[in-house]
Formats: sequence, structure tokens, C-alpha cells
Amino acid sequence: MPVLERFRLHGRRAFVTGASRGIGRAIGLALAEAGADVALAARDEARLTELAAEIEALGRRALVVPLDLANLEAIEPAIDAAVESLGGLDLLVNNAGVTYRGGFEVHDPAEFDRMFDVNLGAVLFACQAVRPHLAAAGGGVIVNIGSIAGTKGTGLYGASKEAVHALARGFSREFANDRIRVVALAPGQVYTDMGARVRANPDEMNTLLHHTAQARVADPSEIAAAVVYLASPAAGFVTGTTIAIDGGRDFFARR
Amino acid sequence: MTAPDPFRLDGRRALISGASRGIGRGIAQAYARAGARLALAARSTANLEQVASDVRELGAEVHVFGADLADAEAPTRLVEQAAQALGGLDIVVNNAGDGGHDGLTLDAYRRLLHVNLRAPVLITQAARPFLLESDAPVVINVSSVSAKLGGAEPYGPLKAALSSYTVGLAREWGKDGIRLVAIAPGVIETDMTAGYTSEAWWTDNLPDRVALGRNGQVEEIAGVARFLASDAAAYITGAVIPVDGGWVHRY
Repeated sequence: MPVLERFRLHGRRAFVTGASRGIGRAIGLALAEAGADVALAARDEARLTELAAEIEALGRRALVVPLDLANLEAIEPAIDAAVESLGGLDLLVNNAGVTYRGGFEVHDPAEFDRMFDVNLGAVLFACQAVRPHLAAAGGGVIVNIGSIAGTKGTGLYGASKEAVHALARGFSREFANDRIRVVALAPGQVYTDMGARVRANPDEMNTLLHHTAQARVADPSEIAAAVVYLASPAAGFVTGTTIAIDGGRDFFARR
Repeated sequence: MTAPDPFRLDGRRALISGASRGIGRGIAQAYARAGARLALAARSTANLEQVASDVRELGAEVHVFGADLADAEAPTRLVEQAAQALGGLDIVVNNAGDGGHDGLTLDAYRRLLHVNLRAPVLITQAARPFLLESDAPVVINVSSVSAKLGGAEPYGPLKAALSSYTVGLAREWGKDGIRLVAIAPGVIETDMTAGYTSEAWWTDNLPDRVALGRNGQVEEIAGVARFLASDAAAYITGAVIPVDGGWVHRY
């Protein structure tokens, strides 16, 4: 098969969480461009409906799935419903994530739980719920969006993302017999609504850029392009690992 | 008069969670031998009283506290009680952990999240004011080799989170002189691992997985925990120390 053909996702059926904005929205669009039908899950139904129209304009099917990822019991039924509607699933992108205001501390146990439920629990239960469907499709791919914040130890948010990386490694072993690949992707700073707080803080921004070889913030499409690759047959031997897409984040500041 | 032994913990005030069994009990004994004063915590105080009595025979002062660390209020209360009993805190060992055996239910996930991560975080932050008053403050978090191996259950991923937290907070608290280190034990023969450490599927594969070809013993973790708490380790912080017999898969 010509090499560029191996990057195509013709006829694949994807489920993307946190698809209404930022990286998730870019992933939804990119997967559709590459040829996939996409179930778009997030809380904001209005934004999802807009995105669905854009995807349909590309000639692909889009399914709007209103879903609060903090509601862990709602995940399996939502995935089952998407399978019903799209006729199966080949790809799950666990992208939904929330920030955490508490840094390294827990002041409100409910806020801590909510952050971990969305960032870790939802990934855990979505992976479990999608497994039989991917297996039934003859195999599939799960891409978990982690964060370079995990690798670098950045607050409890970072801790939750490091857990997501570890989860991908575990599931890659567990699911390999079903021909399911599981990969984590660790973005650095990306130009999204979620990153707005950091961008608004000159000190934090300065430090960040100083520790990034490219000294810039990524566009969401640069993360989405990596998801297309990881989801495609071109990445057939990639599983269990965490791929950093971070413009060269490093411990050492640029001179 | 000889120079003080930097490996001693004489007079140091240490809080150890999960001290009734396994690695926690081993650390309590090692600290007692090194001269530390102890506050020991566990869910049930029945076993803990036995540990306390053994440790007292080594000549150590020891206080025991029952605490179910899945409870959101318990960690802070425990720190306050321990600091009151000892007149402050120098060493905090977050050892209590739940290995998870219930399968992947929502309740099991939550309990693991709370015991293996939220509790150490709450204990550490509640201990901060006391550690700031200490001459040699250190927090030791007991992580696991499974942080590196990952897992399809929450245990390994939550240990990875604990390691990430330890490294990151070491950076934040370094300016205050507070050290934070994690120990990542491999497979240690304890109640938590008793279900498989002697079974053939595990022991037959040990040489393939572990360089030393054997399981670890509690004392082999406790010795490292003693070293890390001592002045001999004064320049170690933000590190995750593997104590796993060399988990270096055969290729």
C-alpha cells in the first residue's frame, strides 16, 4: 500500500470525548478529513451540533453525544449508543480533560474527585466499555490525551495526566490480543480555551517559553495530526507508549 | 566524642501510615532501631497495637492512631493527632495503599483514588506547617514499580500519579528545605502480594522479569526508607527510587 494511503482512515468509526472545543474539536475535524465518521461527545450540545455540521460538509457522518464525562456511569451507555448508530466503533479518543485550581493541594475533595473522574476515571471506564466493540470490529485504536504536565510533575492535574500515560501502557498489554492498540499523547502548551489562564500570566508564559525549544504554543491542529497518524495503519506497531508533542519541552532553559 | 552517624534518626518524629502490616510495619521497625519517635496509623488498631508493642521493645516511643484514609477528613485529623503526640513532625511516610481486589467497579475505583492518592496528598499538605518547623523535614511516598509498568486497573496509574506529584512538589517545596522522595518497590512479599508471590506462574517468570530473580523482602524497602529519611540522604529530593531487584525485562 502506498505510504500516504496508510495514513487514511476511510470508513473508520471514531468516538471522541471533549469534542466541543480546543484539541478535541480539531481531532474530530481531522479524523473526518482523513475519512472517518465521528461520534462527538461533550457537555456543550450546541457547539457539538455546529461541529457535526462541519463534519457532514466534509461528507462524513457525525453523531452528537451530549455527555458529562464526570458522570462515569453514563459513559458505557453513550458508547453503546454510538455503536448502535454508527454500526460499530474502530477508534476511541479520550480527549476530555479539565484543569485544576488547587495546584498540589486538595481543598475541596469534590473538586479533586471531579478532576480525577474526568481526567482518569472517564478514560478508565471508556477503555473498558469500548473494548468489546473494538474487538468485534477486528481490532482498533485508543488514543488517550495526556499531558507533558504529567511527565514534568505539574500539580495534581499533572498527576492525573501521568496516570493516563500509565493507563495506556497497562491497557496496551491487556488489549493486545484483541488487536487493539492503546497510545498516550502528551501535548505541551496548546492554544486552547483551557490554556487561556496560562497565556494571560506573563510570568508563567515566560517560564514556559523559556523551557520550550521552539518557544511557542502549538495549534490544536498539530495535536490532531498526530492523532490521525496514531489512529491509522501507519502506526500499526505503536502501542503502550506516550508520545510527547511539546515543541521540545525540557528541564534546561534555552540560552 | 565521635561525629554523629548521618544514618541515625535519633529523636526524629515520624508519622507512618499503613503501619500495621507489610512494608509499613517494616519501616516502623527500621525507624525505631534508628532512634526515631513514632506515630503509627492503620485502618484497624488491632494489628497496630502488636506492631507498637514490638517497636516499644526496641526502645522507641510510639503512638498509634486508627484512621480509614478513604475518609476525606481522616488524613488531616491524623496529622494533627500525630504532631500533637510527638510535639511536631520531621518525617512523613505515606505508605498506606490499597492494591484493589474488587474488580473494576465505580466504588473500587473511588476507594483506590482516595486511599492511594488523595490521602497522601492531604497528609502531606496537613504536615507542611509542622515540616516547616523541622530541622530535617522529609516526605517519603511509597509508590510502586507498577507506576512504570502501567496498568489497566487504577492501582498502577495512581502510583504513577503519586510519583508525578512527589517529583513536582519537591520542586515547589525545595526552597523551604523540605525533601520529597518516592520509593518504587517491586514485588515484595507482604499480605498484599501473598496471592501470587509463591504461585508458579509468578515464580517461574521471576528470572525473566527481575534481575535478581527473586521477590523482595520488607526489610529491603525499610532500609532504603531509613536511608532516605536520614541526613545521609540530605541532597536527595524529587527522586523516585526503584527498589525492585532490577526490573529489567529480558529482551
